[in-house]
Amino acid sequence: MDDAVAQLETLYRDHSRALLVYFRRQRVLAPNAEDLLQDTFVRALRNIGRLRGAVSPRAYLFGIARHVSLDALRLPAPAEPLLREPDAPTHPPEDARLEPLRDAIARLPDAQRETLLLKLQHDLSYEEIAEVLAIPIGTVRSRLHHAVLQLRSSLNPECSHHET
Amino acid sequence: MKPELLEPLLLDRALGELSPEVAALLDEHLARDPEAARLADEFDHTLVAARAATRLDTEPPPPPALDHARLQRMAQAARAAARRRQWFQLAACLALGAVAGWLAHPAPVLVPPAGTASEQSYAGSPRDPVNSSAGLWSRSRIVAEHTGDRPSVRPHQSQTPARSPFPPHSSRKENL
Repeated sequence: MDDAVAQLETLYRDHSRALLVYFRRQRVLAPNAEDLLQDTFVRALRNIGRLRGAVSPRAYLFGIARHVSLDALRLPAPAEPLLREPDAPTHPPEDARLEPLRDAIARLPDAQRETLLLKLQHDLSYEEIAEVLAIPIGTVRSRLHHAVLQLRSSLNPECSHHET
Repeated sequence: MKPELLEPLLLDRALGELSPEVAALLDEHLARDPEAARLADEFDHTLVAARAATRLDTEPPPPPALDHARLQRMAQAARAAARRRQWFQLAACLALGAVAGWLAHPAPVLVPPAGTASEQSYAGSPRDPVNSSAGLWSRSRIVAEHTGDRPSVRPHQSQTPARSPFPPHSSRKENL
């Protein structure tokens, strides 16, 4: 058990910040982000054997964090899609051009948006995202491609008209 | 290269998912194909803008320390649950064995003592355990065997030779 806790300490040191950001980006869960972070590592300790055998411990921990988020969202609270963008803080004037893109991201289907945010905000690979979401790699690739094409259309509407 | 093949490759390239070898080959193609290069630039620009749009403005505070007390409590609870599971499995095996043993052995038959009214009631009944149509485990057969009865010859019946209690081709249905 001491060996497992020591290994967990190392993983906590390496990945806790990214996981905390993951929880804080979800508006409903942000107030309990630190508690959810601890829950994630408690669950990881329960299945320490699987964690040791995981190809990507980071992806495995993100998968646990996702399940922790889903369980927390099932508690009596207003329903919120996973990884909804937090309330937009005040942006500098030069960032105002990003508002249409933020709206386009918010309009994406939930599955595509969740996949895209795992890629953009946490820089997970196709394989890692597939492990987090428990879906095939081809599905990850397809979702990301559709999401990027949709965002490109929102940035350059005339380009989507030329190609159709 | 066909557009339907090129576009996914360019998207993988923009998302950073191409292997170095494939990325090098694709870059060579882009150098020869201006239209493909323009499309690649659009995808790159879209990804850069999307990353900027989803980035937090402020650096989040550092996470708290790992809660060792909670981990210890969880580990103790898991060990207790494992012990309870083991005891439950052992109890289930013992109970299953007891039930199987009870079902495998027939219920003991109460043999009435000699000279009682119940034995007299058997006087008029067929007391030939061999030739009786009763089943192997029937009460009359067991009582008769226990009390040492022999086949009785009635005047209207012909004496038949002794037969094995276990005929080789019994067609009787044994009522258990």
